[in-house]
Amino acid sequence: MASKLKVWIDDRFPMTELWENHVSKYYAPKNLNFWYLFGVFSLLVLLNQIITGIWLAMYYTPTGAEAFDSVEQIMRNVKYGWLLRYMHSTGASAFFAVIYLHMYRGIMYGSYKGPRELLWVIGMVILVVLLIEAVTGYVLPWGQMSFWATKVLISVFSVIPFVGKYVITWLQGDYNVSGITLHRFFSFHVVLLPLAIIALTLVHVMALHKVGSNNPEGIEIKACKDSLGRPLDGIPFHPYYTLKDLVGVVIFLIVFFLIVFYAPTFGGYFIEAPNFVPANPLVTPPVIVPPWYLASFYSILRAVPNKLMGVIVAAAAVAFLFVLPWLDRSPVKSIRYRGVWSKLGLTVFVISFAGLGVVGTMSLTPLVLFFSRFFTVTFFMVFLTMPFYTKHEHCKRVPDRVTKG
Amino acid sequence: MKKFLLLIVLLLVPLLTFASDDSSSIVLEKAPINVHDKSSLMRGAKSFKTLCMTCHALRMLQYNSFAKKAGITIDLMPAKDKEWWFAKAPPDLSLTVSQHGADWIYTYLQVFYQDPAVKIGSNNLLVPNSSMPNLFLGLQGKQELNANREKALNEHWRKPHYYSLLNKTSPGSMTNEQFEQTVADITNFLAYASEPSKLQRERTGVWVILFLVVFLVLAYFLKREYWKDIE
Repeated sequence: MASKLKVWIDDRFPMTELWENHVSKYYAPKNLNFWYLFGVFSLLVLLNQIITGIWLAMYYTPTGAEAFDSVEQIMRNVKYGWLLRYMHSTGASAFFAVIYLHMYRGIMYGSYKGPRELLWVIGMVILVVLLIEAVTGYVLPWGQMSFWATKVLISVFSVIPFVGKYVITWLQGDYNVSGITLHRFFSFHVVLLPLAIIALTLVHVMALHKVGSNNPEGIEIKACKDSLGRPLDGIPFHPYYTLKDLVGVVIFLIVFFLIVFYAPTFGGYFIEAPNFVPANPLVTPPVIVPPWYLASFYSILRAVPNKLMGVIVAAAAVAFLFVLPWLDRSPVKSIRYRGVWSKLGLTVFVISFAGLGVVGTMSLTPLVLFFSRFFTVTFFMVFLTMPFYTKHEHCKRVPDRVTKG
Repeated sequence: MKKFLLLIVLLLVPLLTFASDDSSSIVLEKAPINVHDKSSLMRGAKSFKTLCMTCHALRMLQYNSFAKKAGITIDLMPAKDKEWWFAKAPPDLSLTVSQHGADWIYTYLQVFYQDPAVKIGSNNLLVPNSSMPNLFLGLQGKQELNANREKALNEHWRKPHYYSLLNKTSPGSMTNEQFEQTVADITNFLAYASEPSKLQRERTGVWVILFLVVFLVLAYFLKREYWKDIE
């Protein structure tokens, strides 16, 4: 009966074909390590955000007068509303944590190098859309930080010559950040941007399955195939990686739920204390800080004295990440076979990005300003020198077959 | 390389200490609270009702059954549009602990002192010129500033404890311990008011984590069973 149904469906829809091509007969390198789990984690978090988001939207009211109270109603009077909300707010931060680690893995093992340049670029587009999704979601609780951080972020557009002022009014739908802004950001946050993220994620996975996964050794497993055309160093995604991912997913969930249940505000980094005060356009909070996942870019913005230049330099930081596949001219992919300069470059990159993030959440003192400038310089140094040191450094020979984990 | 990374992290740690934007001029005392302590919550709720609710509302608790049991109902709270004669309207305290932290409330309530220079006759060390009058004069006794104040203001590098700046000049109806307990109970109740779901959250969490740990063991052995064929 079941097999008859399967045939019936397969005659009309490529069910088995899709399953085989993308899961049971999709070959992945056998040496993928834990760094390769962060892609799966981001899918999981996406799913979490969508499901909890749907339920939150059932109780949330996106108006200036009621938004703040409706969030507190969810926290207090909706059954398990607190759980939905904390899963969603923790999920937002978790999303960036896993995406940043996912990107770090890509950089470390040279996964963006040919033939995976487009895969990387699509991923970068997802990151940008995700940042906008996060910013539009940040407004919704309509607390003091929602209001003022949004105001600061939107004010970035004022640097556009001549029309900046009008662009801001157009985005806000008002002369200030107001209930109207809140309402339209809600619309973007729950309809437009999630649709875009889901579509882009599908495209990202399709691109991945076209070229196949890279691996910690940076060896192309498709170069050595058996008589049936299967990569000799590849194993079927299912059941091997589905099971390995399952173990990773459970570990991730343990960490995730420890935060959800025992540290949901994460010391003010996931939910800021000033956001427990309703938005008030007349009272500026003593310190306005961006969410932690924007802090690195915000630091760069602050490090440059001129506002227009600051925006350009911060945008350049993202732009450099986009073109990374073409800045890196190394003959090998993985950091394991690269020379000392690449290793140094990667280290400086990580320290700069993390350092910028740390100083980005602090109020501006001379010391903080010094460190933002210092890390901004080192951050760009890595990208600007990359075409040279990757080309000229001495690399080790990459083996043809995967022998190490 | 690893040592280098560690060094950088250690160098960045002192920066983090600047991150806290604690602008108070005195040390915030650690509030000895536990929202799972039902009797403390009930004492705190009753004190809140008699001492605080004349002026402060807890509107977010209007459907809360525990508050109802303690006699804290929306019709007993000051009306939203009530006119206040002297100063600005007293804030709703539903989310004060989320906003300021329990230690802040606990300290704020203990550091009122007599100050003839201000109209209401009392002042507060933590929030100078606070418009809230000293409600605890009868309970806590009279506190007055001592000479250490000037000295402490010059020592920027170390915040003083409030009790090094204030002298008790006449006793109240409560002993120091009783008063501290009362303030701790009120703080505890306000911590509960900020997030009533915390009780359920911390209880549920144990079971969720336990389930996941058991599941992890099963998932791990299943994975190992399949992966043993792969070299």
